[in-house]
Amino acid sequence: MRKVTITLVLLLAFTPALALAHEGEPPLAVVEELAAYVATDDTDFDGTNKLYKAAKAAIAAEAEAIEDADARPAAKRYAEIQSQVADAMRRDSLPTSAWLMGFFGATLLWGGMAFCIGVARKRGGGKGGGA
Amino acid sequence: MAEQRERWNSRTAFIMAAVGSAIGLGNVWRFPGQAFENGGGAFFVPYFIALLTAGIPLMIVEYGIGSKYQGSAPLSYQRLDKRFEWVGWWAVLIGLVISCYYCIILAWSWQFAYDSFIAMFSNALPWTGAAAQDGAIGATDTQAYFNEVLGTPAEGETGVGTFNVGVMFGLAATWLCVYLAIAKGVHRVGKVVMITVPLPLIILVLLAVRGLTLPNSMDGLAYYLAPDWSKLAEPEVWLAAYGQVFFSLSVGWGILIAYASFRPKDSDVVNNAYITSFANCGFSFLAGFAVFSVLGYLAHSMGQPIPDMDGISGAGLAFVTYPEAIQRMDMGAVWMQGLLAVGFFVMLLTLGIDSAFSIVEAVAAAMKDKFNVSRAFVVRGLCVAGFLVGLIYCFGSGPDWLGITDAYMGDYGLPMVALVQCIVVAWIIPKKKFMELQGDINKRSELVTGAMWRICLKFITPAVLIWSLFEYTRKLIAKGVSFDVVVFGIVPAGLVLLTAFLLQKIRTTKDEEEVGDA
Repeated sequence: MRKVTITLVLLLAFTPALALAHEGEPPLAVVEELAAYVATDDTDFDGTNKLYKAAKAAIAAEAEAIEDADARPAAKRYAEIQSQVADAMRRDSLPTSAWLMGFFGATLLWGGMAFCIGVARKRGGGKGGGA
Repeated sequence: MAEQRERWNSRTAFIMAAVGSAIGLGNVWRFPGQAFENGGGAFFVPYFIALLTAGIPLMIVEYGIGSKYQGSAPLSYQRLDKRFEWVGWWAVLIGLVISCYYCIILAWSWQFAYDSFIAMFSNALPWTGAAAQDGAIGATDTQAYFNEVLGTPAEGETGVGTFNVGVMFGLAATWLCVYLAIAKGVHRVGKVVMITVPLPLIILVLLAVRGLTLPNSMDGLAYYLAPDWSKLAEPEVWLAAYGQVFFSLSVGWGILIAYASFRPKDSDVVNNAYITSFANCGFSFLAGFAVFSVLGYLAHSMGQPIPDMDGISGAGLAFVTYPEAIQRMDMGAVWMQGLLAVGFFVMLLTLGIDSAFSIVEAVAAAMKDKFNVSRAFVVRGLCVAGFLVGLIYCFGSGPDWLGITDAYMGDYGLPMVALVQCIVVAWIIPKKKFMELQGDINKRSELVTGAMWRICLKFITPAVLIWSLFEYTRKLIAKGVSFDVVVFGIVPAGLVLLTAFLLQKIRTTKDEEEVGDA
């Protein structure tokens, strides 16, 4: 019982925390596009959330530097990519936070069930286990 | 000496029967929708907390009482404390009323499954062109076909709608299955559940695989799984999580007490409760993949975002949205689409039938325990009565009446029973008896309960149930009271409670038997 509780509490605490940390991460394809747009040859591109943030900051800085933001191609492109990020968060691929919550659910429910069945089998069908 | 109590074939048979009872239509059409509306993946956090602090503790109580006192719900409560036999009767009688309308939903599934099967040998699905045929403006084919199956009165038309003979046959088939499953006792039930529990799981896995291989399925899954953490600050989300757990675990129906009573007195309690709960919730979780992958495909195919779609949960999902998705799937041949539809509706049937017969079994066991009548006689009587009452719902207005009865019985009555059960066990009976019950449960269980279990039963579960009932009462009052509400909601609810009290007043020789006889 204690083992079950500890396992469940750990899963309850850590997986959603990880999911929360990854919530803002966009799909890889979008990160690649952002990286290409920024076109910084010296960028050590690895598709991480860190790079996405850096790319986003670079674009934002570029857009801010333009006086009439809506009229300039860079700002338009920025708006497009932002919208694309929002769309892509839900379309075609799952964000990491969704994967993590899927893992969380599967581990707790199916893992929990497997653990309890394991306990029952270990005890030879359980106390009073016969028909 | 009392008659020897029936026993399950094995521990597996007992667990399968309990899982079959818990897993029902709601696992497919309620849980995924609830998750979507309440924060996606973030909903899993309150859901698991609700499962651990309310669902499983209540299930342990029911298994513990049934196993210790070796009787159906009324008899077990009577043996726990003579003053509370009515609690057991209240639970099983609510279940009896619910079974009357639950079976009608299975009757719709029969009709859809039958029509889809016939369609496998034709060149169109049964609902193809239904909207144009009926002249229904703005309705989809599947909506028009569903209205046709139900015999729904046209807009502006008065009366109770047409009586649907097809649904009546479906209802008869459902009650016949219930009779055949339980008439011969729990030995037969133990064999039936070996089919009705794994079969829908296999079909669900196949449907999930089909759904996940459709274009844009990930779009749907993102709505199901991507967490919206801000929702956790909303009290309604927590209420929804606790509500989902209460409704899906079959607690408060007296079923688990009756099922546990068919186990030997020294059987495990706690681990069985964990296995049953995890299996039930794991099924719901899997159902979300099957449902939302298809919704993602359908949303893209219709050019409509999922949040703007109708029929994401409830009967609309099963009988309108899912068939619509099947119609739009490019599967090469109509018979393939028909086969998929047959698979889906057979899954609904097998999911629902073991829930239906578990409800009737709980009532039959109660009647048998109280009046010492033969099982076959009681089951036959209940099935015939259930069928006759269910005929009301074969009219076009049946679904509206069903909604009202469900609001007062399922949504209101069951949490009320669960609350009374908690109060009786954790607060009213002497503390010594409560501790004895816990000691007894722990003595024969592979996992043991501790202080947390008592805290959950004494404080957390009752508090959430009171809050939930308070919120629900507010909503019911806001809806107002109509003639239909009185006839199909308030009167049956009152009669059930009154009957429960009256049944307690009837004394039989069985009531006087010692617990040890069982």
